[in-house]
Amino acid sequence: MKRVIALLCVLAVLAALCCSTVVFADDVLNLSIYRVNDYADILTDEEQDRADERFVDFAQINQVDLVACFLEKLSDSFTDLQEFSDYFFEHNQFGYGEKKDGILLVIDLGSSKMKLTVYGEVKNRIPEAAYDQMTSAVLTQLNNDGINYNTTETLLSAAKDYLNSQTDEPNAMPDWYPANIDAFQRTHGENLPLVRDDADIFTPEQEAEMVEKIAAIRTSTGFDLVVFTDVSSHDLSRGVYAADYYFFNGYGMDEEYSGSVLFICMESGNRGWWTAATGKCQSIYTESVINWLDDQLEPYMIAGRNSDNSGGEYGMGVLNYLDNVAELYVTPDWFPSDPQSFMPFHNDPSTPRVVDYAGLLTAEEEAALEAEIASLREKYDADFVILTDTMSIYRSGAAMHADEFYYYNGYGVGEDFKGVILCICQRSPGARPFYSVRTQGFDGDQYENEERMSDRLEDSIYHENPDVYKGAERFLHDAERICKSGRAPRNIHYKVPIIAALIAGLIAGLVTVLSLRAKMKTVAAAAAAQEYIVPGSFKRRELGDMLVNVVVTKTAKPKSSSSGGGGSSYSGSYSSSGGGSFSGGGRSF
Amino acid sequence: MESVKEFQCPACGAALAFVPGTQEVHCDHCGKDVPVSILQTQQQEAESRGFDWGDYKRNLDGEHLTNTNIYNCQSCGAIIETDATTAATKCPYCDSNVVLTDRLSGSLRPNAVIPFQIKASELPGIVKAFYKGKKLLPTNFFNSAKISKTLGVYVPFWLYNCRLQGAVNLNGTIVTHYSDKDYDYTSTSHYLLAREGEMAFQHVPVDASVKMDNNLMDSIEPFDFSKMVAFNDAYLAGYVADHFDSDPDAELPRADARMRNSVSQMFAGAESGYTSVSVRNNAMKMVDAAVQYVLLPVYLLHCEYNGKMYQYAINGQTGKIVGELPISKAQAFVFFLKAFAIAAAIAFAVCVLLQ
Repeated sequence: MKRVIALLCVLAVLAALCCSTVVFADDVLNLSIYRVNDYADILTDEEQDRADERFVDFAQINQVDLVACFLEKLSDSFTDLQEFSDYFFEHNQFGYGEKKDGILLVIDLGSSKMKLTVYGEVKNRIPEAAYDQMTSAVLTQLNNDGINYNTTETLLSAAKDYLNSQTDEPNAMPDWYPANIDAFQRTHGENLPLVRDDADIFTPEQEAEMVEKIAAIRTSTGFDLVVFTDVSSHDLSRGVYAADYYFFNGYGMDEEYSGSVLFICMESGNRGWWTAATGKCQSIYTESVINWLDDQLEPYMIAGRNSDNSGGEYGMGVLNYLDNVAELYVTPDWFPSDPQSFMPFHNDPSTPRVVDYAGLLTAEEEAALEAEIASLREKYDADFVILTDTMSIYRSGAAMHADEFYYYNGYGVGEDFKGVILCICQRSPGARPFYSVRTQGFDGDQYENEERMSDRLEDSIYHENPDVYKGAERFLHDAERICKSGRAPRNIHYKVPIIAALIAGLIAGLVTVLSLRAKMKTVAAAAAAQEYIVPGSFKRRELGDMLVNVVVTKTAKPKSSSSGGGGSSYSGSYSSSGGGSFSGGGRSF
Repeated sequence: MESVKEFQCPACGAALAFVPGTQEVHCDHCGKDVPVSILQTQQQEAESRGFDWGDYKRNLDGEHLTNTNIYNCQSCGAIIETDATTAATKCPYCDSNVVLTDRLSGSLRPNAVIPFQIKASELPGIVKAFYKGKKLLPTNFFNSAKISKTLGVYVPFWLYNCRLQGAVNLNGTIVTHYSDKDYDYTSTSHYLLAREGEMAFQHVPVDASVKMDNNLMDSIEPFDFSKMVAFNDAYLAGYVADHFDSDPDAELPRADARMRNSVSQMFAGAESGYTSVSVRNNAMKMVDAAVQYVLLPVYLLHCEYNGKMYQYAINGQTGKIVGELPISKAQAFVFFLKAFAIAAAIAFAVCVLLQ
């Protein structure tokens, strides 16, 4: 009996100790699991315990959790180390304090890759360069010495240095940001940098080349242009941060501060870019233009992300971006020098209706189309124009390019300048052309007609080797239908009515015969006994529902194949923190 | 010799026949109508108990179907040969209506009967209405088809009463859809639903005659069992009646299968919150089972067409008619072509107009 009581007392004391351990555990840090998780069996038990102790001490002193995880091979359930890191950190409730500040190193022996991730708010206080240095230190140790206990010591030391780089004020705004926004007075800045690379992603040579290109654009257009990179957007959206940079620094040379800024954000978890435009440039940087610029920039940014910019991909992408922007401002010869004072006119009937700047038609094809158009113009009181060009944007998309060509070259019949124009733009041989159909002065739904005509041209024009003549012929055929009925034909292949008739007939025939046959069949075995249920006798009780499994299937969404590209976030009108009006868009990478 | 009962007119001694839709037997010779309730034999009064399933099982070697198939007509003395299941018939010589009471007595006596409501004179109209609207009948069917034989038969049935009680497991799924910018996702969650309960059934009919086609007898349902009355062999006068030749245990699985299907449907239909539900297994047991032996009225007709015999059955209480009908392939093809042409023309026109 005494032994039993003694044993119970011992058990009670042990239980109390366990509870007290839980009670006295640091409530800002989950101490119930290891900081050093060695699934690859690299460390001995003593080494693991020692490293774990030191990591816990680090966390409690610096108020930032520190975790290492060595994997023999990354599980197939995860697509990459980042996904595993995020899951591992969150699932095990790592992180110090409310903000869950922490640094996690994951090493995958199977692929010889490592991932160092900073979580929580701590990263906002520390420049990106410090993160790169921490990563570099760990990589160097691994390359020189392989993975062992020293890896944990290196991580400790690199993490200490990393944290020592943080600024005194968390989330401190950059020096160009006004302390008092309400009191800010906008003025034109002087001697402003055309490239500001706070994130340090460009080489000096790349920066110099960018400055040269930007200066040329500014001189030729009178619009300002700046490229700006930063390690953070300081809790602002990339669009607002870009606009703020432009606005508060006083960019913009004319009275409307017209111009644009390309902002690249290298903040972990917030990597991306944004083009913001203001003043006269807002009408130039339309959604389709932004999409097109982003389509060209994206491959460089993704390549840079994958290679840690080892090949200077970020800089190359921006240089290419600037070349594209330069094209944006090119004015064609027929464009009036003073659009504001332009007077609409009707051109001479002998003015060519087929204008092939891109060289997509042979001389015979051009002649044939001209003849057909001449005949149509005689028959119908409308104009018909076909334009091919090499530039895809000319200050706007293919649609506005078509409109401007039509308007400024005096096409159209009558007071309404009634007519249709097909504009095909192919930047270079082998590139898919952008195209647009525009109509004016016709009865009926203008937008619907243009959509239908565009749809019907897709299979002939939207190719690496477009059949422009075939597309032009179809365009003229559909234009004639509009002249006759006010409605363009839908994009229905000629075989469709025949196939639809056959299918509908077959279904109707089968349904008819089967239903008539069913009426003939009156004899069948009785399957149930519903009529013989005693009313009110049904009693039912639920014992339980058990989830057996969940099956998830996915289908890829069709990608847009229209002439505008796609995938960018775009805002047609928004304000900077200081109040200026901007438009723009961008993507993450 | 076994007992033979003939119902004779008390006025003129001619044969009496039961009149459908009434509670009387009628004398065609003198026109006298006699209430059925008066026509009781002493044997019937003594044997009001009728068929009992438990007794029947205990006495399997006892009162069973007799094998004797020879009877004497009490009117003309002729020998009447029957098969083992006949309980009522006509004398082939003098056309008297005879009831073989030994096959309807004791524990073999039916518990109840639904008397005929439909008169034989109504049958041509019922058959004509049956043919109406059957567009795939051969065009010469109406002229060439001949009704060769019409027979009013009391068909033996087992009526089962019981409760099904126990567990039913079902499979349930919940389907949700969601998307991100690159993919459309479909998530299907599979559940196992454990349920238990009970349901009572009354008068589930299964025919007790081997020579009657099961599907035909199933198809002439439903009968209105509220009109069922205590058995009186007077109802058989003028009709053929058959004795059961398939015992209730042998036919129970048919009734059981129907009842289980109904239970499964009720359980599946009672679920909510699931995209789809199906029964995984039904482990219910039958309790409090009881069976009645009843005679139900059926007219059987045979129709000869193009050398083939087609059999129809008409519910002698409700007039519902079922049976196999010949299908003309030529007619089917004509209707197919008509529907094909109309639908094809409409579809073509719509496509052209949309252009």
